[in-house]
Amino acid sequence: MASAAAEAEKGSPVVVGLLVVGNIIILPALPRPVGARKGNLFTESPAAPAATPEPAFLTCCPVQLSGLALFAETVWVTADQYRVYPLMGVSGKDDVFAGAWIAIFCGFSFFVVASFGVGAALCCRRSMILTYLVLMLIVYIFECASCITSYTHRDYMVSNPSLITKQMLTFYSADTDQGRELTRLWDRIMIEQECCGTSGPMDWVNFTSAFRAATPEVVLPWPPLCCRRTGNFIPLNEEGCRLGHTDYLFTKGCFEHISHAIDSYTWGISWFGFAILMWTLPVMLMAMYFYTTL
Amino acid sequence: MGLSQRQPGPLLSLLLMGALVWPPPCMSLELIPYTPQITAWDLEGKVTAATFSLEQPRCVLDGHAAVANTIWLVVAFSNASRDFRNPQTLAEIPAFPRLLTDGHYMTLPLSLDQLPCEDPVGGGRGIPLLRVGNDPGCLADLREPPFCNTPLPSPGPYRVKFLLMDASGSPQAETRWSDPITLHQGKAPGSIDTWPGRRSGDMIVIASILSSLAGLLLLAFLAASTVRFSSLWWPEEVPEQLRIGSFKGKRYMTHHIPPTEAATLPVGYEPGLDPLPSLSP
Repeated sequence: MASAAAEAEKGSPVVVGLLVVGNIIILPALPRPVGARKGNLFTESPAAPAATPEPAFLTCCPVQLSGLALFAETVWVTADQYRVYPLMGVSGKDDVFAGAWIAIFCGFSFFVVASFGVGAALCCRRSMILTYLVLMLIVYIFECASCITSYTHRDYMVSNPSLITKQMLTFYSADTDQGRELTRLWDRIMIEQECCGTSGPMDWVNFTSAFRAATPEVVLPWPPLCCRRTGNFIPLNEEGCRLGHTDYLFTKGCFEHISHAIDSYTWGISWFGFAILMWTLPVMLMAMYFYTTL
Repeated sequence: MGLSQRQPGPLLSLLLMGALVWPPPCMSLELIPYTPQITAWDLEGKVTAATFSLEQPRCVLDGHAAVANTIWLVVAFSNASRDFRNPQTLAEIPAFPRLLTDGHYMTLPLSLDQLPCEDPVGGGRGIPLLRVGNDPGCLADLREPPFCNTPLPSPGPYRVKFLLMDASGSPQAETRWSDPITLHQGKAPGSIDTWPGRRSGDMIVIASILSSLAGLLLLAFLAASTVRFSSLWWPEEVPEQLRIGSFKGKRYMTHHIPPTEAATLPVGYEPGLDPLPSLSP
């Protein structure tokens, strides 16, 4: 008698299974609790296994594991192995790291809320599923904000070399706190990456700078760390460096390294977060559908 | 009277002719067919804001210069180069301060043995060029002769030529004037435009897709909660009201239906086809 209506409801255990597996990795076949369903007019299909084969293949990146992965990855970003934070801090566009901090908390929250969601799906309680949905929505929106913020500020910083160039010319060798901090950063980058200036040594010739005010151009048109040095940190040829011979001067620009560093951080926050959110969407839609069937 | 007036005329013209014919030093000056130019070496600092580097005139002056000659470099502003007259004695050689007043000066006195005609060996040995403006501390050092090679004060444009003079200072030969050389003028870093310009495609994709997904989830959540909670606000739907009295035809009882149920059955009911919501448990 109730066959037609029962057809639609046969998906309910499937939905529970999808939810559970969507929230964690493959579970062994757990018995689904039968009770605690109010207002349910339909019979339950008997002996439906909790883990049907399809969900196992559907869920490669479950929300719990994704949350932990996001947490771990954004901790790496915050640790700043390339140590380029002063560049962003001085310019005020440091929300790449703000996005990373938000994503740390969002990742961990995904893990916690998804664990709760597993329990809610197994208990089939309306209030628990509602709580799960509300919490996941909040975390979802914060994670969206983190992805968008991170990428927007990356655009400000390294979509073209102008901001980095202007900052370098203004602050390198300047006598302020920010100047000293940036001078240390640039010196380290120039030595480690064997580069000079943002686009090349001609940055120092084409523009005036705080460095030029301190050192006349005839003495040295570019910072002394642009000169190639021996293992003992002695310039190979000072005259050659002053003239700009490629054997004695680094002619590569440092922008490539800096943009690679900031891009790595941004990719890890924005695109990785985007992928996790894309996966979380069907899980949440399924949870909402499940909520309406309880 | 007419004769006395006419007589100074031809004499004057003779004197003038003699003055013209008198060989001025510049007329006998040899013109070496060589144009000074910026060095062809691939150097980043060939032309900077206060210096520039010329290639050395090796092998060009050999046939024209004696051993005792000095090779001078004349530096002048482009617009003043035409009016430049070669100095005739050592005392007339203009030093650097004359650049600011007259627009030209001479510097870098070299001898021929400093410019040997051989293939320049790059790398470890010195790079063969002449750097104008190489000596920043020159003017301050009073012991130095006044022919300083001090950095240039303005971006120019400048023109240069080489002038060969003998020991007494009379010029022997000269090269052509070079092309105008303009020095780099450093722009202020505040003039750099740091606006990122057009938003990158990635950012638009992320922002638009994530915003719409978040909106979709919110809408779906609202819909789900509305469906869920609608049963609390709206009363239970009653079954369709029975249309009693609309059928005036004879009622045929084809199945045994208890009298209590018969009165409530709608017209045209056939059991087994259209299940009613069962009110009985």
